[in-house]
Amino acid sequence: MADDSKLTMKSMLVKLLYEKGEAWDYELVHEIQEKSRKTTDYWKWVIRFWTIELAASNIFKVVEAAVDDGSHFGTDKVLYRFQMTALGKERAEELLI
Amino acid sequence: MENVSENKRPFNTKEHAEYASSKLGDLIGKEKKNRIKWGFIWGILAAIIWGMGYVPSVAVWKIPDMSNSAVFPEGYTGYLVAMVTIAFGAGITKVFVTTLFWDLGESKLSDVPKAISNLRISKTMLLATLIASPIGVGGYQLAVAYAGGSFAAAASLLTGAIAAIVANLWYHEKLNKKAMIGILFIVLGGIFVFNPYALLQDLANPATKDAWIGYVGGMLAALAWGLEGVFVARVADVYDYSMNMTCRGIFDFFWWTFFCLPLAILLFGFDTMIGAMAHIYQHPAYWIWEVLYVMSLFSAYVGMYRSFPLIGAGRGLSIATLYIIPGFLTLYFFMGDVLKWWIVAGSALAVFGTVYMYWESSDSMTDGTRVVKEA
Repeated sequence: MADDSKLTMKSMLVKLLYEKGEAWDYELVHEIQEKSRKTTDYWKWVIRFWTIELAASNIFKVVEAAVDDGSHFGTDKVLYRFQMTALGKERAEELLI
Repeated sequence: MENVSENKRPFNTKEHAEYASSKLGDLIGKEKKNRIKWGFIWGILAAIIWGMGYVPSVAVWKIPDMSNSAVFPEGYTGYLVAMVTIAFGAGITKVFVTTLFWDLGESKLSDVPKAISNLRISKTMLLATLIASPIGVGGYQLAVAYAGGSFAAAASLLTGAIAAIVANLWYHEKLNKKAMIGILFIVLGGIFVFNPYALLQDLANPATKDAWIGYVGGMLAALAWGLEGVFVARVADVYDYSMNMTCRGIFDFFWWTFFCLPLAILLFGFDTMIGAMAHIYQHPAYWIWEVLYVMSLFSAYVGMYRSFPLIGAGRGLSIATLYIIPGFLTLYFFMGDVLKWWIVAGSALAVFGTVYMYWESSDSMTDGTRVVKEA
């Protein structure tokens, strides 16, 4: 989207979940990597860390968890499914939309 | 800065029990333990580096020869001139360290122009640095110059209380009972640190009568940083911490260059300012101290921000507040800064207040720490 070119990567991540409503962390990571064309492993971990950071600051909330079979981040890692919190939606509407 | 909330549990007890008995439960537990371990490591590293950062702050004041009346005007004007020069140099250093050290190192340099130019988001930070840079940095430097490094370090502890109050008044973030008790302890600690009795004695003594400037500086710094912290927190939600620090560094430099320096030139004269800048900047030692100071400051912030998602902002902040211990120790060992008992007592109270206010012992998978009154 033309709009996204003005946003930093973490901002894109917040906006993405706002638009999707609900998503797994690996889905978000994959899509942000595609959008920003930073497809190395380094960025996979950085973006994943951001999802955790956003969950910790009450912008995202965890609604489900699953075991990674190795195809996303690594065998026996935990995968999380996120939704926006009310605070998150408020912040996204205030700053990003 | 955010206030502690009651824990947000995304799972009810039954689901929790189901998960607990499954492989997923084990893995979640393992991941949580790992995160908590690293969260504390980052937090403690942040505290140590932050505490040590006070030594360059104090050492940098050894460089200007304040008795040289050809460069520095008499009395506190001279100190203000020196303060502006030192802070301006710090601003320059901040820009280079954040961009070349952090952002380049983390390959995030391409995001920097986007982070800054998106004024819809960054304008909050621009405003925050307008307050924090001249008042916070300036006040802090004056506190170091007039009242000593240990005092300046201790005065900064009040920031937590001020941030919580500002967040309550401006953004309607709730202050629960824990927060209010914590603030009480911090304020009590602040009274000890600022010690009105010792201040009055200082005023009566002609040799130290200007010490009140240091006290005012310390107070202003705590106010400015508390305010800044609250504003920055709003932006930090959508910006990566590297972008936060870089924006702050660049905006800080911007305000010092285009606001504070011209103001200083207006007040003190172009020749005086140029003279002071030549006098201080010619020493490589000055730049070494500034680089050390900025690197320690930013590394500490990064460590602290890294700890937030791992152990929660509350505990991360509480651990980082322990910076005062390595602060006092390094100032004593490296600068011979003798500790006054009331500064130690005040700091202990302020640290206790911060920890009481912000600490959460939580069992949830991810720690949410903010409670906002639903509008």
